[in-house]
Amino acid sequence: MMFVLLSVAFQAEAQKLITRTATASFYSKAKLEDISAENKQVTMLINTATQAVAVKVPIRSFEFEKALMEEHFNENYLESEKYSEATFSGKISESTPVDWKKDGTYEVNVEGKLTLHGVAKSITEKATITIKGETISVTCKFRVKLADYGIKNDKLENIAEEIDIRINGELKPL
Amino acid sequence: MRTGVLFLALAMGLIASAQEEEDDLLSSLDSISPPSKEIAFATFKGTRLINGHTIQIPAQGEMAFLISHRFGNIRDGAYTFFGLDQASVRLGLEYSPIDRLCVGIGRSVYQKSVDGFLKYQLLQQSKGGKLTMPVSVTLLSGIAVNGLKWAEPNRENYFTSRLTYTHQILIARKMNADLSFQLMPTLIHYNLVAKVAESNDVYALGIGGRYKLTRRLSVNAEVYPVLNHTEMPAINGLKPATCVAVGVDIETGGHVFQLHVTNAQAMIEKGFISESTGSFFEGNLYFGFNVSRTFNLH
Repeated sequence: MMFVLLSVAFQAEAQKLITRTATASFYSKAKLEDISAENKQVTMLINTATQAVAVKVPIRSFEFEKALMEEHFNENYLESEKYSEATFSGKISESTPVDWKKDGTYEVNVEGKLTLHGVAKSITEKATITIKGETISVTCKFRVKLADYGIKNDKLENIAEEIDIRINGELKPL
Repeated sequence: MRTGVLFLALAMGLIASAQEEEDDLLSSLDSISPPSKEIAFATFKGTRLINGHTIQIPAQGEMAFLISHRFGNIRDGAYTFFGLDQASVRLGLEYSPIDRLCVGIGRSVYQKSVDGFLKYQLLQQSKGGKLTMPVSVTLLSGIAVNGLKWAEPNRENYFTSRLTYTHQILIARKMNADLSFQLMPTLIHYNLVAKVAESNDVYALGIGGRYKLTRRLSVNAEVYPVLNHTEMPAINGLKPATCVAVGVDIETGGHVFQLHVTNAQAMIEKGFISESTGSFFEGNLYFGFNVSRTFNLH
């Protein structure tokens, strides 16, 4: 019995796909200036046995064109000293199954909890999964309304009310 | 019976583990990617706390233009519109050509001075890396040239007599997102003093801090007690007063506005630290502001 449980646990471990160098980028279009930033230190994990997905984005690692933008982003908007990371935990919807053993491109729905600026919300977004041998690429584009996550926007700096976010990662078996 | 209990326990365990799994997956991400080194940012909003420097410098490749004003003495009353009739100005440029190093120049109405300085960020407060650094340390070395006409033009005057040097070790700690403190051990060296009994060197230990009230507003305070007060050079026959200043920082995009009251009218170290004539607490107050605008020179 013990042996069976152990082997199950072992098997589950082997079904994890991971990357530490996924990217998250966002784009804000506004009157005063367009602002974009990229973060190359995103970790992403998919458990192919349970279809579970987890993503962690360290807020401080976003890189901007101007140092002052980065300071304002961390200090005034995302308050990264209080909320150091954004996370997503959820799963690939059963309505859009993926055959992890077969090469191809799958359009899937991902549903789960997005935690940003200390506020957690349930979201469902479309993602594209491309399987080519051992490498699995994941791309997800979605839009976040700042007000939903308690990110204060004031009229001084003209930040867009909704931000386009793109997550991109190449996962390999752990 | 025993098998039934075992089965039930197993089933419950499975349900529980399914619920916990998403969180487990997230926490396993933590172990895979431990938090990386984080350098404390924006310990202070500007390169000046009020009169004096902070540990901050412009980011590499950026230039800041500073316009600083101190009005007249508030004690002069309604006749001078509480000092607003007259103003002393310093115009300054600060530029960081390479990472951690800043060069600055300025011109003040005060003694028609030209000043220049170098500022180097020796240590940066950080956490999460191999080494935790509890404080940020910035070194400052400056020189000020008194541009006034010689008081006694008939005697032999040397250019070096116009020079005063300032050396500071700025030590700051950002306690949390809102609260920052700074210590400013300072040495001011006068090439020329009026009397033999006066020391060419003035030692001061500045203390300052800021507290953020909102995302864009902070209150600041700063005091520069002189340690060798009895031997410091006199101004108009009187020993100078300790420089005290309180103010607010207001941030709007690329600008930082600093509004304050202080008992100093000069905006260079030797002026406000060792040449402020009236006591803050006796109401010798000057209203003033600093405005800084950052430009990107990439």
